[in-house]
Amino acid sequence: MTSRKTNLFVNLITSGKEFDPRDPSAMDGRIRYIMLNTLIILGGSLLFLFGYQSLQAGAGIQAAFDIAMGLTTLVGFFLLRSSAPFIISGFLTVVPYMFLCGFLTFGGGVQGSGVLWAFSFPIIAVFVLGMQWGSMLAGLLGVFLGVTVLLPGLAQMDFQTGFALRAIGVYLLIFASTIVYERTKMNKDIQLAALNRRLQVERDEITAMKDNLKDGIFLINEEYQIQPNYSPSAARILDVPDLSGMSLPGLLTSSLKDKELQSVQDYFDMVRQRSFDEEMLLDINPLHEFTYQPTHGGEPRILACSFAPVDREDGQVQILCLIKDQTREVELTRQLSEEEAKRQEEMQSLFEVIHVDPRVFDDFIQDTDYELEQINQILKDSRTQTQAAMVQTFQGVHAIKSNAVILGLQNFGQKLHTIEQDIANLRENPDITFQDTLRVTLQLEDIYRSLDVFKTLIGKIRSFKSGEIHLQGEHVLIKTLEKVAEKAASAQGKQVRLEIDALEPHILEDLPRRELKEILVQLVRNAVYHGIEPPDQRSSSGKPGQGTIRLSITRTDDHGIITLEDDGRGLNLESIRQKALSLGLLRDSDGPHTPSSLFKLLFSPGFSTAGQADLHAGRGVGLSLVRDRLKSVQGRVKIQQEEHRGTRFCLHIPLLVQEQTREDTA
Amino acid sequence: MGAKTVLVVDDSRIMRNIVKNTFLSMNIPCEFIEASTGKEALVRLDNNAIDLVLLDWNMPELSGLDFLKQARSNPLHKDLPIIMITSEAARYNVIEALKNGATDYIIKPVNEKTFQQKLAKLHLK
Repeated sequence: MTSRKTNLFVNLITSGKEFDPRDPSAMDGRIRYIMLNTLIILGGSLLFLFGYQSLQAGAGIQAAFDIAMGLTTLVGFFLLRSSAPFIISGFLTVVPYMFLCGFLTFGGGVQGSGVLWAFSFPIIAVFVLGMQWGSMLAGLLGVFLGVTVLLPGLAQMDFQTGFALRAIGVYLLIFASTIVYERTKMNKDIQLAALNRRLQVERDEITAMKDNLKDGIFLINEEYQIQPNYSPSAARILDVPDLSGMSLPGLLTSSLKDKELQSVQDYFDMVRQRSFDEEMLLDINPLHEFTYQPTHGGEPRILACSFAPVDREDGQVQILCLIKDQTREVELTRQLSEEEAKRQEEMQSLFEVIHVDPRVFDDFIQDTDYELEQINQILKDSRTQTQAAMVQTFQGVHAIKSNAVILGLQNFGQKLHTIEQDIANLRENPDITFQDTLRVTLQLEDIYRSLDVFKTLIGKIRSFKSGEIHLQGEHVLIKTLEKVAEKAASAQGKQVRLEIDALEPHILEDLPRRELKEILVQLVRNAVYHGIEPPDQRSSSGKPGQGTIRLSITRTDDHGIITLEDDGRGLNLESIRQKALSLGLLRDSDGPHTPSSLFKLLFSPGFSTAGQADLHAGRGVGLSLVRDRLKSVQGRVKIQQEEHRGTRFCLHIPLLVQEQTREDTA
Repeated sequence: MGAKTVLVVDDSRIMRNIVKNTFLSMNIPCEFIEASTGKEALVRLDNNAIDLVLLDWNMPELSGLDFLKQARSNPLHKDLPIIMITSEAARYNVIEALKNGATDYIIKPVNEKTFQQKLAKLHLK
């Protein structure tokens, strides 16, 4: 009830208008309204009262004037409640009041006290109408008052000169004071408005920053509650529509264990206490990266938070929290490291694959595909008892593993070995669960993946320009032979260099590469050991100290022609004969020997003319190995030599192309 | 600066040696007193003038945390530097240790560099 009354009263004196309590100028306006309404209510009532008294006393004009003035203020009262400008009602009140003051001054009153009313006018006029109109009306009343009290016979009573001067003095004093006061207040208002504008701009800037920040930002108080001015991103990241007043630890209940939550609160207290050094606090921040599970369910996400103490003006130390959503970054990092691991595996596999002849590798892949297909059938076939299925699966995996190990695919072999062990354990297990079978299936998936890696690698190797890769192959071959020559020469204290006279491009594509390499390695060693003389010997027979081995690889339509010659001592037919006799490869009775039949003996197993055996040559396997390899590729060899001038081996090896086409037509 | 007395509390002898050797390699003149349980460490603390405690977190009988609480409850050891040594995955332990009065912490594996940093901080205090 009382509140209703109060409300009615407030409504009356504020004209039922709303004023923003946070805006000082609006509150100024509210005071003006209250003042004006008070004036209207009191002044208006007075005017009607005077009017009524005048009517009683029979002063008609006086009564009419009073009531008209009263009505005018009443109009002002209603106008004030409408949307009309304040100043209109202000005039409608202040002007009648001016006339009232003038009239009371003019009338004199008890002991000339009518003048006293006028003293309040400057304050009211300036306050209600503002500086310009207020001082003008107050000036007018002042002039009227001065004239009235100074000029005898003008007013209804005679004022003494002393009184008149005092009245004018006091009026002027009040008038001046009001103007000074209002002026000061106006300056203040101007300053305040400027300050407000600046603050507003700053606040807008900060708000704009906060609202457009990608990361969440907010303050928590000493009870860990989130303060109202949080950034919209914070609500988005934490997946809560309104964070205001929420407890931060409360939001983490689905994400952390109770003990961890306790630690988080302890950590917040440490941040607030400021007794720990910042670096340490950064280091032990329990929320520097954690998986956040919104309490109402929803997608879990990975968040990173950081905290800093902030002093508030009420003496509270709050914590500024910065929250980042790291889900994407962490996911990317994971993907990158997975990619990296895959790359590594590919590289590793590439190194392993490169050593395997592609044709052999094709066979391996076909076999593996076949085995995997078998295993898949077994695992799919529900009629096979699980244990029996595991036995068969084991055999399949083992077969693949054996092949991989033979080809030197370490990584792949290792992988298969692990799976094999796993299946071996299952084999012993009488009751295999569906889970076990599923696990084996997943492991097989992994094998498929590795196999795909191999397939793409083989594809890549093939898709190289054949020229390039084989030029590389030729390059490797020559490097190998140079190394062999160098090693053998340094073991023997000789000086040798390898010269390439001719090298048909792409020739190695069409020749049995591995066999050719072995043959050439043997022949180069042979040349260094048996052909090239020690430097001093060479010098005394007028040769350069460094011996030369020359290699050429060319082709005819269907053969590769490989020539390897040295500028050494040549073959000593006599010593070959002696050696052959001592080894029982020849009998004296065999009569004279042609050079070529003696040369044939060189290729017998166990024949070596070198004095001693070492790692590189002289075990008597050199030329016999050459013979075997040549046989396997259907090649021929011829030896030409000139004593003291050197030896030349000339090989003919059929090209593989014919073989390929033969295979293709078969 | 005379020699400092350091109490090394860890149930693993190997770990104690690692800590000691790391310390020795920094050429800080100090004497070591060892304890393999928190209980033993409390006794050592009462019978010797200790300048620094290096304390393992996980120990049988009386854990690092319990030792810490008991040591700090004695006004004599209110300001004694006690450094917790804990394993990598124990952020929450560190907070608990610091809350209960540990001066600082070192995360395993210990090395000269971290020791240097932590000791430098102690002298600043």
